[in-house]
Amino acid sequence: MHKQLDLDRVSIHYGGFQAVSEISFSLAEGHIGCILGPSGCGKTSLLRAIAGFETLSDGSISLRGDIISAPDTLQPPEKRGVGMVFQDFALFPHLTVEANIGFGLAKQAPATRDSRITEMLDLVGLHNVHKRYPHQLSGGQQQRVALARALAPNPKILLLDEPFSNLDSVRRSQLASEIRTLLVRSKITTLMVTHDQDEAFAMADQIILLNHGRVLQKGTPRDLYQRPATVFAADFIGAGKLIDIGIDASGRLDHNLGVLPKGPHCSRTNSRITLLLRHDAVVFDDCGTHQLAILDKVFQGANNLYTLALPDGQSIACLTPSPIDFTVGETLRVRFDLDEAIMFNSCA
Amino acid sequence: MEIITESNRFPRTRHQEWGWRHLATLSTIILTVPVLVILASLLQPFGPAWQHLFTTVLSDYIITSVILLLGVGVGTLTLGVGTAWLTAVCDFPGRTLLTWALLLPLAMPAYIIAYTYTGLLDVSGPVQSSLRAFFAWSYGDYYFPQIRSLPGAICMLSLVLYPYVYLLAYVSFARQSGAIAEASRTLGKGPWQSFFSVSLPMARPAIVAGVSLALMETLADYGTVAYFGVSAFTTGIFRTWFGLGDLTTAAQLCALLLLFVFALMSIERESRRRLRFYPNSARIQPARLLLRAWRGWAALFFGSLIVSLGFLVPALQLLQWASSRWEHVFDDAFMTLLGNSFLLAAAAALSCLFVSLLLAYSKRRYNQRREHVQVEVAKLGYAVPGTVIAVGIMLPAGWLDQHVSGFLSNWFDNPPELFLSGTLGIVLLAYVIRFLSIALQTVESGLSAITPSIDESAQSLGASSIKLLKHVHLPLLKPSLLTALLLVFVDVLKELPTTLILRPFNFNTLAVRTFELASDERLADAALPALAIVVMGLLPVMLITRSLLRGSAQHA
Repeated sequence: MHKQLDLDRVSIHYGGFQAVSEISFSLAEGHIGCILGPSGCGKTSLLRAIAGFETLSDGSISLRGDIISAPDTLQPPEKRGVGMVFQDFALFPHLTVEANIGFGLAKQAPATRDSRITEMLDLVGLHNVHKRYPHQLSGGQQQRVALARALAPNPKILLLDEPFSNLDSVRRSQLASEIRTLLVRSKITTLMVTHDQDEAFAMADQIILLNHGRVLQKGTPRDLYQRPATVFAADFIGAGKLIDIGIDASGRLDHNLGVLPKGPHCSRTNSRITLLLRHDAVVFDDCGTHQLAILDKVFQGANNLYTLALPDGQSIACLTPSPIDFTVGETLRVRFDLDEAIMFNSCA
Repeated sequence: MEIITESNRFPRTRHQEWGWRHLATLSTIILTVPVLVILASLLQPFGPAWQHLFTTVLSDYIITSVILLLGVGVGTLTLGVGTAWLTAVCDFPGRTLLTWALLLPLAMPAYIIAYTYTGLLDVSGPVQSSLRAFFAWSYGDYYFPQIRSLPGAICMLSLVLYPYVYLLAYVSFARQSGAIAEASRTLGKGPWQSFFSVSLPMARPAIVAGVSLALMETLADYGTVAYFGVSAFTTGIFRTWFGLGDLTTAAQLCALLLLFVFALMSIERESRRRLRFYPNSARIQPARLLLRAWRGWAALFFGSLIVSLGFLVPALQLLQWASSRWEHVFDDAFMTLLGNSFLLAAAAALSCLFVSLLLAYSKRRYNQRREHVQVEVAKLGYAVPGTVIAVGIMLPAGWLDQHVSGFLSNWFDNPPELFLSGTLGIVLLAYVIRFLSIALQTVESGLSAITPSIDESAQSLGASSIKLLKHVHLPLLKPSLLTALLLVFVDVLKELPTTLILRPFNFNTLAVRTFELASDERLADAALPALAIVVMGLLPVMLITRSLLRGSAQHA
């Protein structure tokens, strides 16, 4: 499969502020990519640059092999063949659902146009509301109209800007999987941006993690979860606690937590590392090696999430089935499962 | 449960409250009487004067008014949308300055600009004199358009009324979400195509509402058409009444005029209703179209030309006249004029504020259909021309005077004949009817910011009703109350036809005096009172400017 979208050392400046620095990645045809990062990380600037609303200060963006953006070239948005779904959907309030979807088909013959509109209405399942105006639709329906409108002209790539942020959280995960199914079925190359890792996990084949305008890590959702490259990535993606802990030359951790099974250990004795313990690394066990004080308990329905204190006072988290019911102040017996534990700053 | 809360909240004021509630309804009824009287006149037999009107001048009134409306409609549309598009969508040198300067003509009442241009452009005026001197022409050698004509009136009204369209269109363009224009770009439309297929249609309801407002002002205008001798509806009503002395026919003409007004009003309301569905969250500020080189200068020239014609030129001419005649006109009589006008305007502003508070609080407290209808009905006055209100008040006032006088003559010799007619009381009543909606809207929007939960939280903290009003509502409402006072005050100062008809004998205001002096061709003498009105008129312009610039700063 060839590269549908290719970014090569893309930088964007606003005055003296560098919003995006030397970002490179590419997206294969039919894949769904996701730029994930906290607000202000430059992800929206990047998306708008691909759409043609921002100029690059360095680098280039190519679509199907043609350069569309570079410091000295800026193909106007209307010539790019890029479809975009905006965060607030940006539906045309004076046009019906039908007319909104048909807006990008102005150059086509009326018959082709009508059949394409019908096709799109079928795709997003909005046949019964095609004569309505945007203000008469629910948030989810508006989003589907925005999607159908962006897909109607058959774009080379579809851009989604925080597609679920305007919807209630209950419907988000359901809509995310619906939309993923729809995009995969239509074989549309898609790039979305979000700050929510659950949305990213639900939608993406490939995640580009961004912070302060730089790529921190690229990979599949599973890669990012299991092998975060930095403390930031570990903290931002997935649940878990980072602790600061001493380690000796053989990989043995302080407090008798265990021995780190693999990875380069320090030759020096008594160095300190940062260790990521996912919830599943701390296992409730009646015969466990450690008895730790319970600092806090959150009832989550099927599970209880306990916050426990290590002997030095740092807190770690442990997820148990909800029948395992203790109260704050009591102790919980656990063992440590360090197969998946991740170590940072070794020998720092 | 509900009942207990109610009686706890207002433990001892049941009867007082009942009184206030009915007082609110009573005031609304009084306010609607003039319009009902005018409409009822259609049920009366059409007298011989009507037959006369019908065969002679009625068609003239109608055709002239329609041409006037069409002309002013096209004029305000072109000037208003053109300038709003330039200042809200484009970028060029001097744009920020123009954004507020374009509102200045709002301070210039149409009858004042009309007589100022007459002085400027007449045969003996400076423009024609210079032309003659320069080309060595003499009178009759050349063609010069007659300003005192129907096209002249269209130009004058367009020059001072376009800001209504400009303001609404500007706000609509400026608050459009940039994302919507960008969506259009990603769907294959260029920047200009996007403007015409998305931005302009989205601003259409705002533009239509603005033009309707300008046209309502056109129908209400008396000073300009009377001064130019144009046979519009309002001139016709004055002629029928004062010329033919036929009150019933005058009222019937008023009713006909009201039909035009209602048509415009329903268009305006429908547009505003639609406007509510248009999102105006400018999360992404739309990119402005940069007008480069000569285009930018052309935009600046166009904008400055309109501001000059609509405000600077007439204002400077007034200033020149006023300073040349300063010692002749600035005397005790002028001070009396100022005092009269200010007192009357202040009294009207306070009355409007009182009635507004009564109606707005009544709606807030009871929040039933009756209160909602009351507020809506009370707001209709802004659309009713001053002439119509004046005639609608004179008829019942005259009738009451006659009967009270007749009743009193049973006991007294020579009882006074006029109790209502020719008193300041009915002048005030007319002002309240016409200008209440400005005050009421301002008070309502201020009150809407005080949500019921604010009241409830104050009461849960132990505040009594009085304390709630004094320590919570009053401080929060103060800016709205002051704005309401100012807006009504200035509108009353500018008001002409109502005052002209209803004022007590020999009682003059700035507006009436300006109009009288101008009608007597004492243009230079009229300049000082006119200038006073214009200067006061600048105050609300400043208020609007501030909120407009603050609004666009927020979205920048």
